[in-house]
Amino acid sequence: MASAGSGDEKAAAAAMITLISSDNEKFEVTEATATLSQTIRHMIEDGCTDGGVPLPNVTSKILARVIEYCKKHATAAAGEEGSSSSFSDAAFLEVDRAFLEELEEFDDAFLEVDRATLFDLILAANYLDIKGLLNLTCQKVADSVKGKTPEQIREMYNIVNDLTPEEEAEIRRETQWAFE
Amino acid sequence: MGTVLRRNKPAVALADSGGLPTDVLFEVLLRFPANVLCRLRLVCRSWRSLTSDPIFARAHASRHPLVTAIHFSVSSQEVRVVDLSGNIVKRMPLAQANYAMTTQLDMVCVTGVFIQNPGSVLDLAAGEAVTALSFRDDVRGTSEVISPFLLGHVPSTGEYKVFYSDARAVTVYGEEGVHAVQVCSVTTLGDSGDGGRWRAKPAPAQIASSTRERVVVVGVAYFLLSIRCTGNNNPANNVEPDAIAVFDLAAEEWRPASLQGPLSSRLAGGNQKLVYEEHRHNIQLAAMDGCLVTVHHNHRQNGSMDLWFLVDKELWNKLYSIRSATHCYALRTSYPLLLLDDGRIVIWDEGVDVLRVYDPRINKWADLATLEKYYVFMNMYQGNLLCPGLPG
Repeated sequence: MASAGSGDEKAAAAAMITLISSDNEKFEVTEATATLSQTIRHMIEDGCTDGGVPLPNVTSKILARVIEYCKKHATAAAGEEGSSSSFSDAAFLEVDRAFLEELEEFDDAFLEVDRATLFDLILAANYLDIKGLLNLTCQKVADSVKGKTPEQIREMYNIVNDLTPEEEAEIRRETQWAFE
Repeated sequence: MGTVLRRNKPAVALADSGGLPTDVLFEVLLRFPANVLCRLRLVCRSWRSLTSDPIFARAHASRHPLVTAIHFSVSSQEVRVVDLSGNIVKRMPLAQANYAMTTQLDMVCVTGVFIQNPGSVLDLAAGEAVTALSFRDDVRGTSEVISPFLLGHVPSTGEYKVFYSDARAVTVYGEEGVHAVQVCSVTTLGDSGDGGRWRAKPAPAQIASSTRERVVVVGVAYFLLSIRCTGNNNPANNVEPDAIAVFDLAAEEWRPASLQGPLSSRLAGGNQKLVYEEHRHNIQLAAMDGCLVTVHHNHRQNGSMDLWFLVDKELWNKLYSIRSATHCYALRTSYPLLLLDDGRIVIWDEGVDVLRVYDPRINKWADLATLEKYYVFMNMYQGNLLCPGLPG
Protein backbone atom coordinates (compact mmCIF):
# COMPACT_ATOMS: atom_id res chain seq x y z
CA MET A 1 0.00 0.00 0.00
CA ALA A 2 2.98 2.26 0.44
CA SER A 3 3.27 4.88 -2.24
CA ALA A 4 5.47 7.75 -3.16
CA GLY A 5 4.88 10.85 -1.09
CA SER A 6 3.71 8.91 1.93
CA GLY A 7 6.31 10.75 3.97
CA ASP A 8 3.94 13.68 4.31
CA GLU A 9 1.13 11.39 5.34
CA LYS A 10 3.29 9.80 7.99
CA ALA A 11 4.21 13.18 9.34
CA ALA A 12 0.53 14.15 9.47
CA ALA A 13 -0.41 10.92 11.20
CA ALA A 14 2.27 11.40 13.79
CA ALA A 15 1.38 15.03 14.50
CA MET A 16 0.00 15.37 18.00
CA ILE A 17 -2.46 17.93 19.28
CA THR A 18 -2.97 18.89 22.89
CA LEU A 19 -6.54 19.45 24.04
CA ILE A 20 -7.12 21.30 27.31
CA SER A 21 -10.35 20.70 29.24
CA SER A 22 -12.23 23.34 31.24
CA ASP A 23 -10.60 22.01 34.43
CA ASN A 24 -7.19 22.41 32.83
CA GLU A 25 -6.39 18.79 32.18
CA LYS A 26 -4.27 18.11 29.11
CA PHE A 27 -4.98 15.36 26.59
CA GLU A 28 -2.56 14.51 23.85
CA VAL A 29 -4.19 13.02 20.75
CA THR A 30 -3.20 12.34 17.17
CA GLU A 31 -4.31 14.80 14.55
CA ALA A 32 -6.37 12.06 12.90
CA THR A 33 -8.34 11.63 16.12
CA ALA A 34 -8.71 15.33 16.78
CA THR A 35 -9.91 16.20 13.29
CA LEU A 36 -13.06 14.16 13.71
CA SER A 37 -14.08 17.42 15.32
CA GLN A 38 -14.77 19.96 12.59
CA THR A 39 -14.19 22.74 15.13
CA ILE A 40 -10.66 21.49 15.83
CA ARG A 41 -10.06 20.74 12.15
CA HIS A 42 -10.70 24.41 11.36
CA MET A 43 -8.38 25.50 14.16
CA ILE A 44 -5.63 23.29 12.77
CA GLU A 45 -6.21 24.66 9.29
CA ASP A 46 -5.96 28.18 10.68
CA GLY A 47 -2.74 27.18 12.40
CA CYS A 48 -3.81 28.15 15.89
CA THR A 49 -3.23 24.95 17.81
CA ASP A 50 0.29 25.69 19.09
CA GLY A 51 0.37 25.54 22.84
CA GLY A 52 -2.75 23.38 22.98
CA VAL A 53 -6.43 23.84 22.20
CA PRO A 54 -8.40 25.15 25.17
CA LEU A 55 -11.93 23.76 25.34
CA PRO A 56 -13.59 25.83 28.08
CA ASN A 57 -16.97 24.19 27.49
CA VAL A 58 -15.84 20.61 28.06
CA THR A 59 -14.85 19.03 31.36
CA SER A 60 -12.04 16.48 31.59
CA LYS A 61 -14.53 13.72 32.37
CA ILE A 62 -16.52 14.39 29.19
CA LEU A 63 -13.45 15.13 27.08
CA ALA A 64 -11.99 11.75 28.00
CA ARG A 65 -15.15 10.06 26.73
CA VAL A 66 -15.23 12.15 23.57
CA ILE A 67 -11.60 11.24 22.82
CA GLU A 68 -12.39 7.58 23.40
CA TYR A 69 -15.13 7.87 20.76
CA CYS A 70 -12.93 9.77 18.31
CA LYS A 71 -10.04 7.31 18.60
CA LYS A 72 -12.29 4.39 17.77
CA HIS A 73 -13.99 6.14 14.90
CA ALA A 74 -10.80 7.65 13.48
CA THR A 75 -9.49 4.11 13.06
CA ALA A 76 -12.77 3.21 11.40
CA ALA A 77 -12.54 6.16 9.02
CA ALA A 78 -8.98 5.22 8.08
CA GLY A 79 -10.11 1.65 7.44
CA GLU A 80 -12.95 2.84 5.23
CA GLU A 81 -10.66 4.97 3.10
CA GLY A 82 -8.33 2.03 2.68
CA SER A 83 -11.05 -0.33 1.55
CA SER A 84 -12.74 2.03 -0.88
CA SER A 85 -9.52 2.69 -2.74
CA SER A 86 -8.79 -0.98 -3.19
CA PHE A 87 -10.81 -3.55 -5.06
CA SER A 88 -13.68 -4.67 -2.90
CA ASP A 89 -13.26 -8.41 -3.09
CA ALA A 90 -15.03 -10.78 -0.75
CA ALA A 91 -12.24 -10.82 1.81
CA PHE A 92 -12.33 -7.08 2.12
CA LEU A 93 -16.11 -7.04 2.54
CA GLU A 94 -15.81 -9.65 5.26
CA VAL A 95 -13.26 -7.56 7.14
CA ASP A 96 -15.43 -4.47 6.69
CA ARG A 97 -18.47 -6.21 8.08
CA ALA A 98 -16.68 -7.55 11.12
CA PHE A 99 -15.27 -4.10 11.74
CA LEU A 100 -18.67 -2.42 11.43
CA GLU A 101 -20.16 -4.91 13.87
CA GLU A 102 -17.40 -4.18 16.32
CA LEU A 103 -18.01 -0.46 15.89
CA GLU A 104 -21.70 -0.89 16.55
CA GLU A 105 -20.97 -2.81 19.72
CA PHE A 106 -18.61 -0.06 20.78
CA ASP A 107 -21.29 2.59 20.18
CA ASP A 108 -23.89 0.63 22.16
CA ALA A 109 -21.53 0.27 25.10
CA PHE A 110 -20.49 3.91 24.79
CA LEU A 111 -24.09 5.01 25.30
CA GLU A 112 -24.41 3.17 28.62
CA VAL A 113 -24.15 6.36 30.64
CA ASP A 114 -26.40 8.30 32.98
CA ARG A 115 -28.64 11.01 31.63
CA ALA A 116 -26.52 13.98 32.76
CA THR A 117 -23.45 12.51 31.04
CA LEU A 118 -25.46 11.86 27.89
CA PHE A 119 -26.60 15.50 27.78
CA ASP A 120 -23.03 16.70 28.38
CA LEU A 121 -21.85 14.49 25.53
CA ILE A 122 -24.47 16.04 23.23
CA LEU A 123 -23.35 19.53 24.19
CA ALA A 124 -19.71 18.62 23.65
CA ALA A 125 -20.44 16.95 20.30
CA ASN A 126 -22.37 20.04 19.26
CA TYR A 127 -19.61 22.42 20.33
CA LEU A 128 -16.83 20.33 18.81
CA ASP A 129 -18.95 19.59 15.75
CA ILE A 130 -18.50 15.83 15.69
CA LYS A 131 -21.35 14.68 13.48
CA GLY A 132 -21.26 10.98 14.26
CA LEU A 133 -21.18 11.48 18.01
CA LEU A 134 -23.94 14.08 17.86
CA ASN A 135 -26.14 11.70 15.85
CA LEU A 136 -25.45 8.80 18.13
CA THR A 137 -26.20 10.62 21.37
CA CYS A 138 -29.19 12.59 20.10
CA GLN A 139 -30.75 9.47 18.67
CA LYS A 140 -30.53 7.87 22.09
CA VAL A 141 -32.55 10.72 23.63
CA ALA A 142 -34.92 10.82 20.65
CA ASP A 143 -35.60 7.09 21.05
CA SER A 144 -36.54 7.66 24.67
CA VAL A 145 -39.19 10.18 23.60
CA LYS A 146 -40.45 8.31 20.54
CA GLY A 147 -44.01 7.06 20.81
CA LYS A 148 -44.58 8.55 24.25
CA THR A 149 -47.50 10.78 25.22
CA PRO A 150 -46.74 14.33 26.40
CA GLU A 151 -47.61 13.21 29.94
CA GLN A 152 -45.14 10.30 29.81
CA ILE A 153 -42.43 12.61 28.46
CA ARG A 154 -43.01 15.15 31.23
CA GLU A 155 -42.77 12.39 33.81
CA MET A 156 -39.58 11.00 32.33
CA TYR A 157 -37.78 14.35 32.27
CA ASN A 158 -39.46 16.01 35.27
CA ILE A 159 -41.03 18.66 33.09
CA VAL A 160 -43.79 20.81 34.57
CA ASN A 161 -46.73 21.35 32.26
CA ASP A 162 -46.95 25.14 32.19
CA LEU A 163 -49.45 25.28 29.31
CA THR A 164 -52.93 26.60 30.15
CA PRO A 165 -55.90 24.59 28.88
CA GLU A 166 -56.50 27.45 26.40
CA GLU A 167 -52.96 27.15 25.04
CA GLU A 168 -53.33 23.41 24.69
CA ALA A 169 -56.55 23.91 22.76
CA GLU A 170 -54.78 26.47 20.60
CA ILE A 171 -51.96 24.05 19.74
CA ARG A 172 -54.49 21.41 18.73
CA ARG A 173 -56.43 23.92 16.66
CA GLU A 174 -53.38 25.46 14.92
CA THR A 175 -52.04 22.12 13.79
CA GLN A 176 -55.15 19.99 13.74
CA TRP A 177 -53.71 18.05 10.82
CA ALA A 178 -50.97 16.64 13.02
CA PHE A 179 -53.47 15.18 15.47
CA GLU A 180 -55.70 13.43 12.92
CA MET B 1 -25.43 23.95 31.92
CA GLY B 2 -27.33 25.62 29.21
CA THR B 3 -24.51 27.67 27.82
CA VAL B 4 -25.53 28.81 24.38
CA LEU B 5 -22.86 27.33 22.21
CA ARG B 6 -23.94 28.50 18.81
CA ARG B 7 -24.49 32.10 18.07
CA ASN B 8 -27.34 31.39 15.69
CA LYS B 9 -29.46 29.62 18.26
CA PRO B 10 -32.94 30.99 18.96
CA ALA B 11 -33.36 33.19 21.97
CA VAL B 12 -35.75 30.76 23.59
CA ALA B 13 -35.82 31.15 27.32
CA LEU B 14 -33.88 28.42 29.05
CA ALA B 15 -37.02 27.41 30.86
CA ASP B 16 -36.54 24.43 33.06
CA SER B 17 -37.36 21.44 30.91
CA GLY B 18 -36.30 18.95 33.50
CA GLY B 19 -32.58 19.18 33.03
CA LEU B 20 -32.83 19.02 29.24
CA PRO B 21 -30.68 21.96 28.13
CA THR B 22 -32.16 23.91 25.23
CA ASP B 23 -29.22 23.09 22.99
CA VAL B 24 -29.68 19.40 23.66
CA LEU B 25 -33.41 19.71 23.06
CA PHE B 26 -32.75 21.60 19.82
CA GLU B 27 -30.54 18.83 18.49
CA VAL B 28 -32.83 16.04 19.66
CA LEU B 29 -36.08 17.52 18.37
CA LEU B 30 -34.48 18.19 14.95
CA ARG B 31 -34.61 14.45 14.45
CA PHE B 32 -38.40 14.16 14.55
CA PRO B 33 -40.75 14.68 11.59
CA ALA B 34 -42.86 17.86 11.54
CA ASN B 35 -46.16 16.15 12.39
CA VAL B 36 -44.68 14.52 15.50
CA LEU B 37 -43.15 17.86 16.55
CA CYS B 38 -46.54 19.56 16.36
CA ARG B 39 -47.89 16.99 18.81
CA LEU B 40 -44.85 17.37 21.07
CA ARG B 41 -45.73 21.04 21.49
CA LEU B 42 -48.20 19.82 24.11
CA VAL B 43 -45.34 18.88 26.46
CA CYS B 44 -44.69 22.40 27.75
CA ARG B 45 -44.21 26.02 26.72
CA SER B 46 -40.49 25.79 26.04
CA TRP B 47 -40.96 22.81 23.73
CA ARG B 48 -43.70 24.73 21.95
CA SER B 49 -41.69 27.93 21.53
CA LEU B 50 -38.56 26.07 20.42
CA THR B 51 -40.39 24.09 17.72
CA SER B 52 -42.14 27.25 16.47
CA ASP B 53 -38.98 29.34 16.28
CA PRO B 54 -37.95 30.30 12.71
CA ILE B 55 -34.33 29.28 13.28
CA PHE B 56 -35.39 25.84 14.43
CA ALA B 57 -37.98 25.61 11.65
CA ARG B 58 -35.35 26.42 9.00
CA ALA B 59 -32.84 23.97 10.40
CA HIS B 60 -35.59 21.35 10.45
CA ALA B 61 -36.63 22.02 6.85
CA SER B 62 -33.09 21.70 5.54
CA ARG B 63 -32.67 18.46 7.42
CA HIS B 64 -35.99 16.98 6.30
CA PRO B 65 -36.66 17.80 2.64
CA LEU B 66 -40.30 17.25 1.74
CA VAL B 67 -42.15 16.76 -1.50
CA THR B 68 -45.75 17.45 -2.42
CA ALA B 69 -47.85 15.46 -4.82
CA ILE B 70 -51.40 14.52 -5.54
CA HIS B 71 -52.16 10.98 -4.55
CA PHE B 72 -54.89 9.20 -6.47
CA SER B 73 -56.77 6.20 -5.20
CA VAL B 74 -60.06 4.61 -6.18
CA SER B 75 -61.96 6.25 -3.37
CA SER B 76 -60.20 9.54 -2.84
CA GLN B 77 -57.59 12.04 -3.90
CA GLU B 78 -55.49 14.15 -1.66
CA VAL B 79 -52.56 16.49 -1.68
CA ARG B 80 -49.83 14.86 0.35
CA VAL B 81 -46.61 16.12 1.87
CA VAL B 82 -44.18 13.22 1.99
CA ASP B 83 -40.63 12.95 3.29
CA LEU B 84 -37.83 11.35 1.28
CA SER B 85 -38.30 8.06 3.10
CA GLY B 86 -41.87 7.94 1.84
CA ASN B 87 -43.53 8.75 5.17
CA ILE B 88 -46.67 10.84 4.84
CA VAL B 89 -46.24 13.96 6.95
CA LYS B 90 -49.43 15.74 5.98
CA ARG B 91 -52.48 15.08 3.87
CA MET B 92 -55.22 17.31 2.57
CA PRO B 93 -58.27 15.78 0.90
CA LEU B 94 -59.37 17.16 -2.46
CA ALA B 95 -63.06 17.46 -3.22
CA GLN B 96 -62.68 16.72 -6.91
CA ALA B 97 -60.45 15.15 -9.48
CA ASN B 98 -57.58 17.29 -10.71
CA TYR B 99 -55.43 17.46 -13.79
CA ALA B 100 -52.50 19.42 -12.54
CA MET B 101 -50.80 20.91 -9.56
CA THR B 102 -48.18 23.59 -9.04
CA THR B 103 -46.55 24.27 -5.69
CA GLN B 104 -45.04 27.52 -4.40
CA LEU B 105 -43.99 27.76 -0.75
CA ASP B 106 -47.04 26.80 1.34
CA MET B 107 -49.50 27.16 -1.51
CA VAL B 108 -50.61 24.67 -4.11
CA CYS B 109 -52.75 25.33 -7.14
CA VAL B 110 -54.82 22.49 -8.58
CA THR B 111 -56.76 22.41 -11.82
CA GLY B 112 -60.06 20.57 -11.78
CA VAL B 113 -61.11 18.05 -14.38
CA PHE B 114 -64.60 19.46 -14.73
CA ILE B 115 -65.31 22.71 -16.43
CA GLN B 116 -67.77 23.86 -13.75
CA ASN B 117 -65.07 23.52 -11.12
CA PRO B 118 -61.94 24.70 -12.84
CA GLY B 119 -59.36 25.13 -10.15
CA SER B 120 -58.42 26.27 -6.69
CA VAL B 121 -55.52 27.42 -4.59
CA LEU B 122 -54.96 25.64 -1.28
CA ASP B 123 -52.89 26.71 1.69
CA LEU B 124 -51.04 23.59 2.75
CA ALA B 125 -49.83 25.03 6.03
CA ALA B 126 -53.29 26.17 7.11
CA GLY B 127 -54.90 23.14 5.51
CA GLU B 128 -57.66 24.99 3.74
CA ALA B 129 -58.77 26.17 0.33
CA VAL B 130 -57.94 29.82 -0.20
CA THR B 131 -59.41 30.75 -3.56
CA ALA B 132 -61.55 29.14 -6.19
CA LEU B 133 -60.24 29.98 -9.64
CA SER B 134 -62.43 30.59 -12.61
CA PHE B 135 -61.68 32.34 -15.83
CA ARG B 136 -63.95 33.81 -18.49
CA ASP B 137 -63.17 35.79 -21.59
CA ASP B 138 -64.69 36.68 -24.91
CA VAL B 139 -62.56 34.41 -27.03
CA ARG B 140 -64.71 31.60 -28.27
CA GLY B 141 -63.36 28.32 -29.40
CA THR B 142 -62.38 24.96 -28.12
CA SER B 143 -59.83 24.90 -25.36
CA GLU B 144 -56.85 22.69 -26.08
CA VAL B 145 -55.32 23.00 -22.66
CA ILE B 146 -56.27 20.90 -19.68
CA SER B 147 -54.17 22.63 -17.05
CA PRO B 148 -54.35 26.36 -17.73
CA PHE B 149 -53.33 27.62 -14.25
CA LEU B 150 -49.79 28.19 -13.02
CA LEU B 151 -49.15 29.47 -9.51
CA GLY B 152 -46.23 31.78 -8.82
CA HIS B 153 -44.83 33.44 -5.72
CA VAL B 154 -43.34 36.90 -6.19
CA PRO B 155 -40.53 37.27 -3.64
CA SER B 156 -40.20 41.06 -4.05
CA THR B 157 -43.78 41.69 -2.93
CA GLY B 158 -44.66 38.46 -1.15
CA GLU B 159 -47.72 38.12 -3.39
CA TYR B 160 -49.00 35.00 -5.05
CA LYS B 161 -50.16 35.28 -8.63
CA VAL B 162 -51.91 32.85 -10.89
CA PHE B 163 -51.02 32.81 -14.55
CA TYR B 164 -53.68 31.55 -16.95
CA SER B 165 -52.83 30.36 -20.42
CA ASP B 166 -54.98 28.56 -22.90
CA ALA B 167 -54.82 27.71 -26.57
CA ARG B 168 -58.13 27.95 -28.39
CA ALA B 169 -59.00 26.46 -31.72
CA VAL B 170 -61.32 28.98 -33.34
CA THR B 171 -63.34 28.34 -36.47
CA VAL B 172 -63.96 31.44 -38.55
CA TYR B 173 -67.03 31.49 -40.75
CA GLY B 174 -66.15 31.40 -44.42
CA GLU B 175 -62.57 30.33 -43.86
CA GLU B 176 -61.07 26.94 -44.10
CA GLY B 177 -59.62 25.15 -41.09
CA VAL B 178 -59.22 26.57 -37.63
CA HIS B 179 -57.32 29.51 -36.23
CA ALA B 180 -55.18 29.13 -33.19
CA VAL B 181 -55.61 31.76 -30.51
CA GLN B 182 -53.40 31.91 -27.46
CA VAL B 183 -54.98 33.52 -24.39
CA CYS B 184 -52.93 34.73 -21.41
CA SER B 185 -54.04 36.44 -18.25
CA VAL B 186 -52.83 36.98 -14.72
CA THR B 187 -54.42 37.63 -11.33
CA THR B 188 -53.18 38.34 -7.84
CA LEU B 189 -54.38 36.20 -4.96
CA GLY B 190 -55.58 37.55 -1.68
CA ASP B 191 -56.92 40.75 -0.27
CA SER B 192 -55.62 43.31 -2.74
CA GLY B 193 -59.15 44.61 -3.26
CA ASP B 194 -59.39 43.50 -6.85
CA GLY B 195 -58.79 39.87 -5.98
CA GLY B 196 -60.15 37.63 -8.66
CA ARG B 197 -59.78 40.22 -11.42
CA TRP B 198 -57.89 38.88 -14.39
CA ARG B 199 -55.55 41.15 -16.33
CA ALA B 200 -55.27 40.08 -19.96
CA LYS B 201 -51.72 39.88 -21.28
CA PRO B 202 -50.47 39.68 -24.84
CA ALA B 203 -49.66 36.17 -25.92
CA PRO B 204 -46.29 36.02 -27.65
CA ALA B 205 -46.37 32.55 -29.10
CA GLN B 206 -47.70 29.14 -28.46
CA ILE B 207 -46.53 28.24 -24.98
CA ALA B 208 -46.53 24.86 -23.32
CA SER B 209 -49.00 24.09 -20.58
CA SER B 210 -47.96 20.65 -19.38
CA THR B 211 -46.77 20.28 -15.83
CA ARG B 212 -43.11 19.62 -16.58
CA GLU B 213 -42.88 22.11 -19.44
CA ARG B 214 -43.36 25.28 -17.42
CA VAL B 215 -42.04 26.38 -14.09
CA VAL B 216 -41.82 29.41 -11.84
CA VAL B 217 -38.40 30.29 -10.45
CA VAL B 218 -37.98 33.29 -8.14
CA GLY B 219 -40.98 35.19 -9.47
CA VAL B 220 -40.35 34.47 -13.14
CA ALA B 221 -42.46 32.03 -15.15
CA TYR B 222 -40.75 30.01 -17.89
CA PHE B 223 -42.61 28.16 -20.64
CA LEU B 224 -41.27 25.94 -23.38
CA LEU B 225 -42.52 27.04 -26.77
CA SER B 226 -44.55 24.64 -28.86
CA ILE B 227 -45.53 24.17 -32.44
CA ARG B 228 -49.25 23.67 -32.63
CA CYS B 229 -50.68 20.53 -34.08
CA THR B 230 -53.82 22.32 -35.20
CA GLY B 231 -54.36 25.72 -36.73
CA ASN B 232 -53.35 27.09 -40.06
CA ASN B 233 -52.28 30.57 -39.08
CA ASN B 234 -49.24 29.65 -37.12
CA PRO B 235 -46.02 31.15 -38.39
CA ALA B 236 -43.88 29.44 -35.81
CA ASN B 237 -42.65 26.50 -37.76
CA ASN B 238 -39.06 27.13 -36.89
CA VAL B 239 -39.26 26.93 -33.12
CA GLU B 240 -36.19 25.52 -31.45
CA PRO B 241 -37.02 22.52 -29.28
CA ASP B 242 -35.84 24.22 -26.11
CA ALA B 243 -36.81 27.84 -26.76
CA ILE B 244 -38.35 29.34 -23.63
CA ALA B 245 -40.83 32.20 -23.24
CA VAL B 246 -40.17 34.24 -20.10
CA PHE B 247 -42.85 36.09 -18.13
CA ASP B 248 -41.91 38.33 -15.23
CA LEU B 249 -44.66 37.88 -12.62
CA ALA B 250 -43.77 41.04 -10.68
CA ALA B 251 -43.86 43.38 -13.68
CA GLU B 252 -46.46 41.21 -15.43
CA GLU B 253 -44.58 41.48 -18.69
CA TRP B 254 -43.10 39.11 -21.20
CA ARG B 255 -39.39 39.45 -21.74
CA PRO B 256 -38.99 40.88 -25.24
CA ALA B 257 -37.16 37.89 -26.65
CA SER B 258 -37.54 34.24 -25.87
CA LEU B 259 -34.66 32.61 -24.08
CA GLN B 260 -32.49 30.37 -26.19
CA GLY B 261 -32.18 26.95 -24.62
CA PRO B 262 -28.86 25.21 -24.06
CA LEU B 263 -29.34 22.73 -26.89
CA SER B 264 -30.32 25.08 -29.70
CA SER B 265 -26.82 25.92 -30.81
CA ARG B 266 -25.71 22.32 -30.45
CA LEU B 267 -28.53 20.90 -32.52
CA ALA B 268 -28.36 23.53 -35.23
CA GLY B 269 -28.24 22.57 -38.86
CA GLY B 270 -30.53 20.49 -40.96
CA ASN B 271 -34.25 20.76 -40.98
CA GLN B 272 -35.35 22.79 -37.99
CA LYS B 273 -38.75 21.15 -37.87
CA LEU B 274 -37.20 17.68 -37.74
CA VAL B 275 -34.87 18.79 -34.97
CA TYR B 276 -37.86 20.11 -33.10
CA GLU B 277 -39.81 16.92 -33.54
CA GLU B 278 -36.93 14.74 -32.50
CA HIS B 279 -36.10 16.61 -29.32
CA ARG B 280 -39.04 18.65 -28.12
CA HIS B 281 -40.73 15.84 -26.17
CA ASN B 282 -37.43 14.95 -24.50
CA ILE B 283 -37.11 18.33 -22.84
CA GLN B 284 -38.60 19.42 -19.53
CA LEU B 285 -38.17 22.37 -17.22
CA ALA B 286 -37.40 22.20 -13.51
CA ALA B 287 -36.48 24.51 -10.65
CA MET B 288 -33.47 23.46 -8.61
CA ASP B 289 -31.23 25.36 -6.26
CA GLY B 290 -33.00 28.62 -7.17
CA CYS B 291 -32.15 28.16 -10.86
CA LEU B 292 -34.11 27.36 -13.97
CA VAL B 293 -33.04 23.92 -15.17
CA THR B 294 -33.70 22.23 -18.48
CA VAL B 295 -33.93 18.48 -18.26
CA HIS B 296 -32.88 16.84 -21.48
CA HIS B 297 -33.63 13.17 -21.83
CA ASN B 298 -30.87 12.36 -24.23
CA HIS B 299 -31.35 9.06 -26.01
CA ARG B 300 -28.10 9.22 -27.90
CA GLN B 301 -24.88 7.71 -26.60
CA ASN B 302 -26.48 5.08 -24.37
CA GLY B 303 -28.87 7.59 -22.91
CA SER B 304 -28.58 10.13 -20.18
CA MET B 305 -30.56 12.80 -18.41
CA ASP B 306 -28.69 16.09 -18.81
CA LEU B 307 -29.38 18.92 -16.39
CA TRP B 308 -28.52 22.37 -17.69
CA PHE B 309 -28.64 25.16 -15.11
CA LEU B 310 -29.27 28.74 -16.16
CA VAL B 311 -26.51 30.30 -14.09
CA ASP B 312 -26.65 33.76 -15.58
CA LYS B 313 -29.07 35.65 -17.81
CA GLU B 314 -28.28 33.61 -20.88
CA LEU B 315 -25.52 31.32 -19.73
CA TRP B 316 -26.34 27.64 -19.49
CA ASN B 317 -24.12 25.34 -17.54
CA LYS B 318 -24.45 21.58 -17.92
CA LEU B 319 -23.85 20.49 -14.41
CA TYR B 320 -24.94 16.90 -14.59
CA SER B 321 -25.20 14.17 -17.12
CA ILE B 322 -27.03 11.45 -15.28
CA ARG B 323 -26.58 7.92 -16.47
CA SER B 324 -28.93 5.10 -15.75
CA ALA B 325 -27.84 2.23 -13.55
CA THR B 326 -29.73 -0.26 -15.70
CA HIS B 327 -30.63 0.79 -19.22
CA CYS B 328 -31.26 4.04 -20.98
CA TYR B 329 -35.06 3.78 -20.92
CA ALA B 330 -35.11 3.69 -17.12
CA LEU B 331 -34.58 7.45 -17.06
CA ARG B 332 -37.53 8.22 -19.29
CA THR B 333 -40.04 8.58 -16.50
CA SER B 334 -37.59 10.25 -14.12
CA TYR B 335 -37.58 13.88 -13.08
CA PRO B 336 -35.03 15.68 -10.88
CA LEU B 337 -36.43 17.23 -7.70
CA LEU B 338 -33.65 18.50 -5.51
CA LEU B 339 -29.94 19.12 -5.25
CA LEU B 340 -28.80 18.04 -1.79
CA ASP B 341 -26.13 19.91 0.17
CA ASP B 342 -23.68 17.06 -0.37
CA GLY B 343 -24.04 17.31 -4.16
CA ARG B 344 -26.35 14.34 -4.65
CA ILE B 345 -29.57 14.71 -6.63
CA VAL B 346 -32.98 13.46 -5.59
CA ILE B 347 -34.84 11.99 -8.55
CA TRP B 348 -38.44 10.86 -8.78
CA ASP B 349 -39.20 7.97 -11.09
CA GLU B 350 -42.90 8.24 -11.71
CA GLY B 351 -42.94 5.13 -13.84
CA VAL B 352 -42.18 2.83 -10.93
CA ASP B 353 -43.06 5.16 -8.00
CA VAL B 354 -39.54 5.25 -6.59
CA LEU B 355 -37.63 8.13 -5.04
CA ARG B 356 -33.94 7.77 -5.77
CA VAL B 357 -30.76 9.60 -5.06
CA TYR B 358 -27.96 9.88 -7.58
CA ASP B 359 -24.38 10.72 -6.71
CA PRO B 360 -22.81 12.32 -9.80
CA ARG B 361 -19.26 12.11 -8.46
CA ILE B 362 -19.21 8.34 -8.36
CA ASN B 363 -22.08 7.73 -10.80
CA LYS B 364 -24.03 5.70 -8.25
CA TRP B 365 -27.73 5.32 -7.55
CA ALA B 366 -29.52 4.44 -4.33
CA ASP B 367 -33.22 3.98 -3.71
CA LEU B 368 -34.67 6.22 -1.03
CA ALA B 369 -38.22 4.92 -0.95
CA THR B 370 -40.78 3.04 -2.97
CA LEU B 371 -44.06 4.88 -2.66
CA GLU B 372 -47.50 3.42 -3.02
CA LYS B 373 -48.99 3.72 -6.48
CA TYR B 374 -50.28 6.84 -8.18
CA TYR B 375 -48.47 9.83 -6.91
CA VAL B 376 -48.52 12.49 -9.61
CA PHE B 377 -47.26 16.05 -10.12
CA MET B 378 -44.54 15.56 -7.54
CA ASN B 379 -42.45 18.57 -6.65
CA MET B 380 -40.39 19.91 -3.77
CA TYR B 381 -42.31 21.41 -0.89
CA GLN B 382 -40.74 24.82 -0.25
CA GLY B 383 -42.97 25.90 2.61
CA ASN B 384 -42.54 25.23 6.28
CA LEU B 385 -44.97 23.12 8.29
CA LEU B 386 -43.58 24.27 11.65
CA CYS B 387 -43.58 27.95 10.86
CA PRO B 388 -46.16 28.70 8.16
CA GLY B 389 -45.27 31.55 5.82
CA LEU B 390 -41.56 31.17 6.43
CA PRO B 391 -39.78 31.37 3.12
CA GLY B 392 -37.27 28.60 2.55
